[in-house]
Order: sequence, then C-alpha cells, then structure tokens
Amino acid sequence: MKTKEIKKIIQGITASIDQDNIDTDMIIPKDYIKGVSSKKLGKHLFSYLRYNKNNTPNNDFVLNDPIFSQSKILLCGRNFGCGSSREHAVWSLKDYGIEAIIAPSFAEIFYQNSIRNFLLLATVDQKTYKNLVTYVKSGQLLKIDISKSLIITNEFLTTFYLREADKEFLLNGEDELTIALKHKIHIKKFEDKHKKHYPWIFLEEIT
Amino acid sequence: MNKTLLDKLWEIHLVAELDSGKSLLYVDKHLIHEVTSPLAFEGIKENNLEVWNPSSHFSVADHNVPTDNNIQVDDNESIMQVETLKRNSYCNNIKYFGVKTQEHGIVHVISPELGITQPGICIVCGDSHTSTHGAFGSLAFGIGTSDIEQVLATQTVSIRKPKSMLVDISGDLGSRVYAKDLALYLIREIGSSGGKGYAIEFQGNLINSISLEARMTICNMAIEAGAQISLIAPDNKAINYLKGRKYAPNSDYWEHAVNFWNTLYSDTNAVFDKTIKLDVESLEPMTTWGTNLDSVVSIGENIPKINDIDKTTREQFVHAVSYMGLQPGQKIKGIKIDKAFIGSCTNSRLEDLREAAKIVVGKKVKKHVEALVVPGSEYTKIMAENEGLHHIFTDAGFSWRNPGCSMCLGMNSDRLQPGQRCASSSNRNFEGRQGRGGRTHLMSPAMVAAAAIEGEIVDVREL
Repeated sequence: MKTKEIKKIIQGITASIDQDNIDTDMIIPKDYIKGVSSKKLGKHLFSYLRYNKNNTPNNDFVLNDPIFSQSKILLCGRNFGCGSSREHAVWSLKDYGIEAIIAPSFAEIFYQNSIRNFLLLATVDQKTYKNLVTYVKSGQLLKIDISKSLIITNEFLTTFYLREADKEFLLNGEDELTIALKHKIHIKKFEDKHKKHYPWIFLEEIT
Repeated sequence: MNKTLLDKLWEIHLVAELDSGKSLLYVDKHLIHEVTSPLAFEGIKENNLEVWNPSSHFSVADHNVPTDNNIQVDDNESIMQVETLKRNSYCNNIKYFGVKTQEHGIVHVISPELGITQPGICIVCGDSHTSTHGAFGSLAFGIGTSDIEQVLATQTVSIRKPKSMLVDISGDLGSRVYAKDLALYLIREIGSSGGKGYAIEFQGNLINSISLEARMTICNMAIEAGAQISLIAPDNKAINYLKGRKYAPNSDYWEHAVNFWNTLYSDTNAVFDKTIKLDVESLEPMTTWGTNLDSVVSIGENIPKINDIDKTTREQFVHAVSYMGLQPGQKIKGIKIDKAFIGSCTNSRLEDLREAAKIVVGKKVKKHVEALVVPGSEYTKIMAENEGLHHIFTDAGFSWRNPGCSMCLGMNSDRLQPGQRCASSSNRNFEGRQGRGGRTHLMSPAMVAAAAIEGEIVDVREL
C-alpha cells in the first residue's frame, strides 16, 4: 500500500492551483472512494475540476495543460487538504505522480496521512508561495532538496519548513506500523495495567 | 494540580513516547465504516497480522447505504463496499451492526446511543467527525486508513499531542438559536483553520446548560474549525445519558466508572495555550453563503461586497459567489432553495428532529422544494416515531427516511443535481460535497425546516 521510500531530491514540473482551502472532496470526489483498492486513483484526482460533466477534459484546468500534465509537484494555497479524513486523497495524488506539495499551510489529518504515505509536504510563507506561483507559471522546473529543506529554482533558493521529526521519518523509510509493532511488549504491559484500572472498558456487550 | 483535561486523557493512554515526537496512544474503542476501512483490513492480511482485540472494534455501514425503501441499490461499488465490511467484520470477529437492525445508523450517532462512547476512553474512527465523542470527555479523533491498520494490529495510534485551546462560552442562547449556530459562530470567530494544531476544550455556563445532543453538535463541528480533537468535561448529564445503555459499564462497575469519570476535568489552575471567550447572548441564527466554512454569516447579514474582500483572495471570492449562483452584497434572507436536508452526524439526533418538527407542525413544504429528514440512527427513528414526529414531517411533505449519512456527502442516491441549492443541517458546504455542482447553505435543523416551508432562506424566529 505504501511506497516506503522517498527521493531525497525531487525535481519536476510544478502545477499551481492558486486557491485556499482545497478540500479532500475536491482532491478526490465521493464517487471515487467507493472502491476497495488504493490503486488507479490517479485518474480521478481533482476529477470535478479536471473533467467536464460530460467527462471531456476541462481545458482550463492546469493538469490538462500539456506543459503541466506530467507535474511532480503541486503548489497550492492555504489550508490544503481540509475536510474529510479520506486517505484516498493522498493515494490519488501519489498515483497521479505527485511527489511533493508546496503550500502555506496544510490541514491536520491530511498532513498526517501524507507523511505516513511518504508524500512530502513543504510549508512556505505566503510571500514565498506567491513568488513560486509566478515563477512556475510557464513551466519552469523546481528542485526540492529534502534534507537541506531547500526549494531550488534557476533564479533563487528558498527554504521550506518541515518538522525535523517528519523529515527524519520520511528519509528513514520506516513506517508507523512497523514502529508500533516494535512496541508490542510495551503495549501488552500497558494493556494489563489499563485493564486493572478500567475493567469496564474491556467488558463485552451488557444486556 | 494544574493539568488540562487533555493532559489527563493523554497520560491515561500513553504507551510510549516515540522518537518522532509522537505519542503512542492506547485505543480503547474503534469505530469502523465501509469507506475508509477496506484497505486497512487488506493490509492486515497482506502483512500476516492479526486483530489485537476484536471486541474493541465496532463496524457499521453508514456512508453509502440507501435511505429510501423504494430505492433499489444498483450501484455495485456501494454493494461491494458494504459486503466487504461485513466480511471483514465476520472474519475478524468484529461486531457488525447490520442495516435495518435497531443498532444501525451513522457511526457517530449510534456509538453514544449504545454507550460505546464513554468518558475517559480513547476512541478513534476513520472519519474526521470523530471529534463528536469528545462531548462525553472521551479522547476522540479521526484517523486515516493507515492508522486504522495500525489500530487493528496494535491497538495503538501514533499521534502528536496537540496544543490546548479553551473556548469559554457564556450567556444563554435566544429562542430558536441552537448549538449549530454557536458552532458556526465559533468558526467565524477563529476561522476554518483557527483550531488547527489544537484540541479545543469547551467550558462555560452555556456548555453546562445544554444537552449532550447539543454538545455533540458543537464537538462535531470542531473539525470544521480545523481542530482534530474537541473536549467537554463529563458532568451528571453525561453520566445520566450513559446509564443503562447497552455497552455502558454494568452495575458491577458503574460506581467505579463514575468515580473515575468525575476526575475528568481541567484543573482550576490548568494553563491553556490559547483561550477564547464567546458570549452567545445576542447570537442570531447563522448560515453560510459560500463553499467553505470561512463564509459564515448571520441571517440578517448580506454576502460581502468585493471591496470587503482582501485583494489577494478576490479571485477566489468571485469564483465562490459565481459557483453559488449569488451576487456580492446580496441579502442572505430570501435566497430560494430547491432542497432541504435534515440529517448528518452533526444534526440528526432526537432533539434536532423535535426542534425541526416544532417549526414544521401544521405547515406545508413549499411546492418547489424537495425536503427530507434522515434520522441519525434506527433507534432515533423509532424514538421519533413513538412521539409521532414522522407524521408531522410527512404531513408537511417531508420524506421520512432510514438512517445514514445520506445527503451530507451524497455517496448514495440522495444528492443534489448541478445548480440545485440546499438548506442543509450538515457540516460541509464544499463545492460538490452534496452532489456535483450542488450549492449548500449550512444551518440548524430548525432553520432548514423554516427554509423548506418558505421555499427560501428565512429567519426561523420570524416564522
């Protein structure tokens, strides 16, 4: 399910969707979260924006522009990923080929889901964000160096924010489940103690 | 002692501090629905893992089940998702609350009703509105599918402890002003991402005075302010609510549990990272005009004019107004609606239905409006029918449905057609949320009822 690796340097075309509050319903509409697989969700990424109601491509949408259709990086406004907790949003981004998202801020659950799936979220201040929006307009490449927290263009260098621990996590490549499983003995011990203190929580149905 | 309720709950569930700075928390109860769980179960199977404690999980199909007896499900994907949930529950010895049984309903409505939700427990679900359960003083939050897999396999979640925000609410709500109006007001005050990174604890005389149903509405909407966790210290009302519920502590443990629950509050000297004070004395019914929760207005107001909008976001404003088919500066009152929806995990409980019924009684839904009431659970539906509420609604021309998430997110056939406008008691007004091209105005169930009758957005106090 998860690609447990991330490139230390991400380089590619960057598509800008200069809009705040892009929610997870927008990233992957309800129609496409009915499956029981995380595969092939990329074709439904931003579906309502990418396709017209008759299923033809909406030529005004950035990812339908031949210059940007192969984008590896997204550049979006504040509070990206707000709303529903659906991890499908992250899967669809990754399946499309997006390796990093740059934004002034991200919503909490989306942030957690992304890092868990080794999708880089680079936070930049509003001014840097606007500069980047202008810079990528005609299809210039961006390069992101994760370990140095740098976004590199042909014209300027700028830093991005990523919590040190999340950076470690991304570069280390060990997923949360594996880490939790290493604590099995602690969990068992904790559970025994917890059961003693709060036995009613462990009761089954009471009739 | 100077601990916040959040501190206490965190401590009770802390298994280990991880190198990442996250906490490994023990999960007491896990609620499962059909949309976000299939891959978590698949992951367990693929990795040869077992479900750690099957009796701590409860599953129910709520997101894409039909709510109309007359509608045949012809959507194979929905059928497949529900069947997959059933199978996964059965194969892993997990309790499954079947459609049409008395325990069926929206996950965040049935869990408190069944007494699964309790003060002091850690409760998670692959759904952002899990914050609802914080109304009982449980540590409750929405998680992703990868987290679900971890919960199934290890009974833990890895999460960073949020900062604490105190929202102290004083005053009394006026006639026909409700918890929903307060929730929308809070979001307007702090912004749709103002609660990000915080657990919000609600306190104050207003909170003490309102029912658990109303508290759940407020905690439910905390995520719309960006807060993953919200809390209210349990009091006698919460304790009385739970007494005798199917999964609540039995008489052998009741007193023991209550003694513990009574320790769950923020100490007097507890320090919060942020404090907000709100007075609701003059609060008016609230609604939204746009496509995110930053568009809350009170019923007497107008949509902003372009000059009121910050230059950098004008383009987005113009887009939102145009998507909604409205004009800058337009009055909120008098906007014509096509549909009216009373339901969702925010506002589908008995108290919500009663308040809406009070508005509807003896009146008729405007001819051009299609109105539906979707009780949050089968139990709620039965209780409402015992009081005759269904007759009030159906006599007025509302359709009275079976429980489910329904038109809150339109995963079943209850959805808006492009361009249709809905007065909705749900929680999100995002573009396409209730159906592609659909236009949503969020409000209290009573306001929705009033809009259904008048055929347009009105002030429910003037009806």
